[in-house]
Amino acid sequence: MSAVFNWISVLFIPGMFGGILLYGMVKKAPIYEYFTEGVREGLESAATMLPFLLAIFLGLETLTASGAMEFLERAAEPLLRLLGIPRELTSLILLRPVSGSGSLAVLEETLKAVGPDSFIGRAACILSGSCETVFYVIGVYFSVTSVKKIRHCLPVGLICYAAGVLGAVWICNIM
Amino acid sequence: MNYIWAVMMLLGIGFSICSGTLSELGQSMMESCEEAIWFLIGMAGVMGMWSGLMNVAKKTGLIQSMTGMFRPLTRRLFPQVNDQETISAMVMSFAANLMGAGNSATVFSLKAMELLDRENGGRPEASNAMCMFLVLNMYMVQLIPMTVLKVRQDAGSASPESIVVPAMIVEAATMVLAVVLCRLLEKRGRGNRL
Repeated sequence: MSAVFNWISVLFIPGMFGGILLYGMVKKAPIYEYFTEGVREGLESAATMLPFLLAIFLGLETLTASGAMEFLERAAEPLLRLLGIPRELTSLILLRPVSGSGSLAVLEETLKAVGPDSFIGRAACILSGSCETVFYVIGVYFSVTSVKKIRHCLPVGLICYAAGVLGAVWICNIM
Repeated sequence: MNYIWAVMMLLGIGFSICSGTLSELGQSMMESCEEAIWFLIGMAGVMGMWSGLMNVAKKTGLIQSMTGMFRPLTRRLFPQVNDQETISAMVMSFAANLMGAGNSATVFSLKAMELLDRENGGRPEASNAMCMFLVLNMYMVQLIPMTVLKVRQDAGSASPESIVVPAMIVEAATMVLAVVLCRLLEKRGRGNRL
């Protein structure tokens, strides 16, 4: 099972390259020229992103490094317990919307503490897949646009986040 | 965005003052800026690579024929988007997400957002299509959650893959919820323009 997944994953990039370049060759197109031209465009948009990316990294780090997150964790605990969500998952649930790498580290620690095949460990893994880094995605995606008002993106993102958390815990209860 | 950022910064700084960790905070703030640059440098290479490859696909006409396949689906989700390049960027981003190729997915998503912004005429209000794309991309089902599988394996799990199916069920449910909510909320916005 794992091997099959691995294969599809491994094939993704080389497969795309092979297919597209072969198609170009068949059409006798100047693929080298097209490729480098596209690379220039890609690098240009990377450069325009930088100020926004820096701002969002800074904001998220300020929030997590200052201890504000820990406070929120403690404040949210009673509420989460009320919903039947184990205490061990609190920091993962709260960190996940702001930091992908941070929450991955928390996931590793959680699995080490409770075991990867325990109820909490499985819930933590499913939660990491079904819940997204909402604030990070919104910040980075809109950084390349001129949008100031993001309308319903945040509420939809957060409601689905809550649904993902509840869904993860619930499915571990029954499966 | 303005408020979200302000809240993050001020809440963090306020907390730091209360708990007396200002010196560590200053340090972390500088480090995060450095990290942003490193992240972008790593990302820029991948961005260049995909952007180059997609340019080949675009100029040779491959994208044109490919997007035709996904047209029935994208027409329902993004009724206002007709540009082929935009659609192909969106489809590629979904595909990369499905495959669990995180960095590549981000690259295509950013390209798609850029193109959607152009279609939106650079307006300060996000278009329906932008919101739908962003939300759908966030809650896209992942066929191969490589990172989580790796973490489980490292933690000594007896069956790392045992979470794949339940995770997919939950993800599919949140994805449907995301699309439905998005549809409901977009009607509230003034004018159903792009």
